Amino acid sequence: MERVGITQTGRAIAYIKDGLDEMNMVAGTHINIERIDIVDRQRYYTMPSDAIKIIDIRCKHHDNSGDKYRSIPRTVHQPPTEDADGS
Amino acid sequence: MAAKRKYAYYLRGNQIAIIEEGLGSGLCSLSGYSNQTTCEAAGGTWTENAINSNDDGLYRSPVATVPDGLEIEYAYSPRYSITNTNVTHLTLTDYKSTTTGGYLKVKGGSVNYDTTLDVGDHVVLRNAGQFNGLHKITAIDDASATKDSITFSTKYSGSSSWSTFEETVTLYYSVNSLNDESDVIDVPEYLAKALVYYVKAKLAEDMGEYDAMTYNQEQFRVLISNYKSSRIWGSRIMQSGTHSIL
Repeated sequence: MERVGITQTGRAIAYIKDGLDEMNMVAGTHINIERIDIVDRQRYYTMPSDAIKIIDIRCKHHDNSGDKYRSIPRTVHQPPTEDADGS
Repeated sequence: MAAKRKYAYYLRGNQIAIIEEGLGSGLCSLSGYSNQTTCEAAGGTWTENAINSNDDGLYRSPVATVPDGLEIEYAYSPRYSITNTNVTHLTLTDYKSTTTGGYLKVKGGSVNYDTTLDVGDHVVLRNAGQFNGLHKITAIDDASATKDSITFSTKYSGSSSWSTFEETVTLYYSVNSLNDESDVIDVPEYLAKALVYYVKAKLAEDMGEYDAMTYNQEQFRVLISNYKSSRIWGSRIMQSGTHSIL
């Protein structure tokens, strides 16, 4: 705060938080990995709420019959028809 | 050996849609059954295999449960630092939305959390799926045992019935959140300089000094770029793509 010359703590902290978000959007200095169960006939999975930027999405058994996690491709279009469960 | 599968994803708001290529309805060991429920009810064995002779090449929702099947790697904002990673609770099992206000509430392990946590404290959840990150405690109540549930200030609009966490959730409670002048920001020294430029840029913007804002924003970007490139060793080679215009 001294280096910037600001005396309002709340305002400075708000800007610092913005700066940290922006920094991680560009450089990705703090990385976390989360594993979620894939559930039969469940299509949608909520992203971790603290995620600023997705680095990679991998699935177990994708293109391999071992237990390896491999990056999965993003589809440009979603399937045109719904599943039987409406998802 | 596990079956080979083929997944893809697309985004829907803050959700990831996982779709799997392959089979229509799967295979029943008995003839005449075309879905898992009726097949298993008749005593048959239902086989779901994403790539087999029945592969129709269509994408649909995943056709089998795979524990820990989805791995998301993401960047998060270090608005907090965990000061002691050994100071944790691993006993949380359930979560729900409070009936009034719609806040996140967790419980588990018949542990009296009041002995280690206080209202107003910040905690960090990991392996908690969508609830990963920093939370502020607003209440510690009785659910199944004395003071075994924690309510956070985090909004959650899900079910008001208890749901079970998929993983063993880690609750870190030796946490330093960014909320006053004495806090330490968990970034490398070099990036701290970039942060100074960012705050200067925002202040200049507030005062309408757009030249100063532009200068400081540029310095912010330069420092971040320098930080990124300083981690990459060796020469850089730009290679044109197969369909590039020469």
